[in-house]
Amino acid sequence: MRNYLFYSIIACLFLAACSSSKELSADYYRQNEEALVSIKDRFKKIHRLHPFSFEVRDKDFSEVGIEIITDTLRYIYHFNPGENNLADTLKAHRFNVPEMLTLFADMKQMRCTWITNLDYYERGQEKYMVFLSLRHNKLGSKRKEKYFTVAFFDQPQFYDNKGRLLDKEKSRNIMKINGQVFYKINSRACFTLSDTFR
Amino acid sequence: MKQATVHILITISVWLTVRTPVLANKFFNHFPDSTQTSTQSQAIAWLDSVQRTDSSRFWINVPPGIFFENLRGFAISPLKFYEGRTNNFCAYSALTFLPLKNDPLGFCQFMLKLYQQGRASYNGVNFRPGKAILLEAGLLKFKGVLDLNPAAQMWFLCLADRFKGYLNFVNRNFDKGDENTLWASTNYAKFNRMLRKVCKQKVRARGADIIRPFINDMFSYIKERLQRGTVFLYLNNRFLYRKKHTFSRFSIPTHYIIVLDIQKIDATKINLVYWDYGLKSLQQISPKLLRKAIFGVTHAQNVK
Repeated sequence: MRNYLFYSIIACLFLAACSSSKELSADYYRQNEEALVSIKDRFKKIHRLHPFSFEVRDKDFSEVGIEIITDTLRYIYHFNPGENNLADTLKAHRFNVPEMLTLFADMKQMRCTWITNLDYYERGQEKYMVFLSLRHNKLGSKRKEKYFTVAFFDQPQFYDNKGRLLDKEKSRNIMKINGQVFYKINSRACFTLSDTFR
Repeated sequence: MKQATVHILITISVWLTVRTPVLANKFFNHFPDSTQTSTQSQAIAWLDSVQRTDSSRFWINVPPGIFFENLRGFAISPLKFYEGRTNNFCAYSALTFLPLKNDPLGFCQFMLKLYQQGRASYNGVNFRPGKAILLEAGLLKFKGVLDLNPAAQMWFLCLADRFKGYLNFVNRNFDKGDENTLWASTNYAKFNRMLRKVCKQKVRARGADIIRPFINDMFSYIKERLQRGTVFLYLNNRFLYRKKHTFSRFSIPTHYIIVLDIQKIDATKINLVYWDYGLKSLQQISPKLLRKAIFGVTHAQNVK
């Protein structure tokens, strides 16, 4: 009886550890699709006028960073907790400050750690995707992969029968973004679980 | 009396030798750069005049049209030279800053010879890439704009193939995907050796792979050297670009950058302007972080 109990516990722990991260993440995306798509759309709209990336630099979501890309220079700013100069910096770079602060607040609420516009190349053509990482609570602290990353594309993408992102139609080459294999959420969005957020 | 005169003369000559850089700096604002051997316009004029070649029988995955476009890019906008994502080419990219800045014509001529003949030498360093390298250039993918730059891929792969350090001992021969592995990585001694050989400049280096250099005032040290040449920093990338939220006590250097400018704003803030990933970046950091991040400071002087 004792042995049976012991093996049952081991089996349960094993199953919990192996619970499909993919399903966990796809579910997470579906549950929060509206918020995530809204963040992506607003980011793209602002990015068109003022290219930037936003990051959260600590676990408590209090230390943030922003990269602002101009024609000549990329400015990288970090703001420690208690510092109120984020708004001043945004103003100096001619951003719409309330719009940006609302976006950052929403991102923090979604536990989004990094958002950027990432370039990729298809048949020699430069294209962009929105790359968004979240610190996934459900992954827990014991797992190596702590970040749930979503890539949003403008055009429908191609996937193999395992749902892995391919580099083009009828290709066997799996496309890697930042060295990671991505899995299908829908035709224009895919995800991965990673141990780094950018 | 004669002896005293000799002593005075020796003292004056020693003082002048020591002071010359300081005086030169004072009067000319910066040291005359004797390493500049050709200009951007010369390189562009040469590229316009050169006969376009057919596909190379050595670099079969590098189309000539794109290759020449890449060379033009090297000459026109050297600061856009991009090392690519998720690979270990940052050291090679940092090093290339000097040939592109000081000798764009010579570098383009070398690249064309390498393309046409499959082997070439630059500043006396012979490059004879193996078959695996010849086949791979032009095929690297998902590296950002490096995907469209097979000429840069050729150069990076040749450098990684030609120069070896202790980090490369476990993986000496190139296999597919090795641009992301220890095969392409560069320890500090290897970087300095490459710089001395490829760029033929006087190079002074302070630092090591695991131990930080003992420099009291890092800001002043970098600032002073910046006026007399090019400064490369070997640092822990985590301090510049955080990728995780986990804290690690063990810190190792992983990245090479070129310092373009450094300014002290106040006692707690330093503006560091540097070049990496094909961009000029300005980052405000504290003196403490600067000291913590840096494991090596290499100074390539503006004299041969």
